[in-house]
Amino acid sequence: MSDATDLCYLSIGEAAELLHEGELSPVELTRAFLDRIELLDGPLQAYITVMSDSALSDARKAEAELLRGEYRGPLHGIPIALKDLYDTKGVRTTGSSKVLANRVPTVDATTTARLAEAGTILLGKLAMHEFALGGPDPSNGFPLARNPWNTEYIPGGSSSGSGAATAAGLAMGTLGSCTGGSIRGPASHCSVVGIKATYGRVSRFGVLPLSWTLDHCGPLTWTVEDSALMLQAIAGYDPKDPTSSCAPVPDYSESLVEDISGMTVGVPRHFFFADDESIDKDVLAQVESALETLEELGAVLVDVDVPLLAHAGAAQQTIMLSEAFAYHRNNLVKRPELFGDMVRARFRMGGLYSGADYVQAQRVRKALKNEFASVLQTVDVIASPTMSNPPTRFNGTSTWTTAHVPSFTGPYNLTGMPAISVPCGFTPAGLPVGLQIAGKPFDEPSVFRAAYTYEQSVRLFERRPPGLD
Amino acid sequence: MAELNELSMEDFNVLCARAGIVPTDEEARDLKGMWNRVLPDLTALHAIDLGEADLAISFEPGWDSGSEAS
Repeated sequence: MSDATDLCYLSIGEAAELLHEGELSPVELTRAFLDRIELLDGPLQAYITVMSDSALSDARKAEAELLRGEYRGPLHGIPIALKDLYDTKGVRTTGSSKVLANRVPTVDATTTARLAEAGTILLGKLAMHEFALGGPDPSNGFPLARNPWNTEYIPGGSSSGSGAATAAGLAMGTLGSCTGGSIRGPASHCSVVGIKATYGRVSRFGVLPLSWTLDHCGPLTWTVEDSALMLQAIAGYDPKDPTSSCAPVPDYSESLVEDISGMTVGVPRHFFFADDESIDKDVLAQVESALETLEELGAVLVDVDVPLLAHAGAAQQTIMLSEAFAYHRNNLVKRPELFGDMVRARFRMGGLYSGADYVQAQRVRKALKNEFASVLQTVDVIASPTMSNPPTRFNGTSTWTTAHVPSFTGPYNLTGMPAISVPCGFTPAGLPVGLQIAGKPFDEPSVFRAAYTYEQSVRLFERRPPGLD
Repeated sequence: MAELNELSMEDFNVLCARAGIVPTDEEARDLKGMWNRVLPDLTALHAIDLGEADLAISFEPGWDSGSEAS
């Protein structure tokens, strides 16, 4: 590896220490990332907009602050990137759609502002599936991010660029958004860490909505520690988001301890490990191995039942598409040609559900939350595969592909529980597999502790995508 | 709900029109195919006996009148 590659493969935690001690310059670090984006983003297509000038300007500002001893914290001088649905004042934010092709926000999203306040350097805006739905759709005219582990495969979505950029070392950390798994899915498919915190923990203000009651924001990073650092910066009450929680934000770094002895881990095998031909057996084998590792590390595995998981997919789709249709209806009626084929079809589906369908889906959602609440009185966290299948080839996706394989992530969007994906292995074809760990509402610390202990044991963060350099 | 499986193309177009959707003939055929794939799951959703389960929409009558002023 070249020196520049070494810099881009530092974790946020490692870089933060070097920056704080003056052994690394934010300008040098930012230049290394911009050079790498120039070199690799052609084939990877992770970025929609690269902000070279402002990034270097911000890096020089961070350098001056650090030299003056005005240290803002562990994200000071760290180059990051945002999914292109986070509003950035004065910088085009498209949602990867022709509908918003020339949209330039006048105000930052709260998350954008908080990361800037923490001293991060914004490298640019990342590719995504149109309006955070569907799959890679060439008809919408925006970049289709590719999986750095094998560019013939999708990186997952909808935060496709966030997963690809994080895995390829094109940003030290990124933000994705998640309505049914769009943070954990790309994290799993790209062998990086991704967490959606409890609903209400991170502000949604200034983030293009897909489904108000299901949308979550969160980071994708190379390590669990890095996710904790980024979540720390963006979590907390925001009066601009009516669903924002006032609950105090704990110090997540305190949960980064390698100790899960006695921790009880629930495993709903009836759903996540069902004898179902639509669930990939290589994925299950990797996750079974991860569960054995958790047990060896001192966790106690407990089989648990959550019967309504069988209906979570239908409830999630009904709510998501109904709310999405309500938001996009005017454009769908007046300017349907501006939507890509895939999203136009799925959004239109949302207009076909009845009010009774939506209400029943919400009632099922509440009953599912009650079932999980009951289970979480007996276990600390719940573990499962993140995805039911490894990434597919680009030509293997269609309008309805993602809706007709079992969603292992969507249930936690319905319940609002915190859930993380941490890398747990590779299929025989070399495709990444993720372990999902979910917890009680606002108990991100237990989720981080379990994920960190596992990660430090298997150390998959030492493995980077081959063939990039 | 089960009857919706048997919708004619004409009736399906009425459903689309009610939503304000005006697909082309080809798009309408594709959309109907997708809708037919959803219906069994939706029917199952309605078949769940939730008893008296309350949707529990919350309503907070108080608000900051200053921020709501038009």
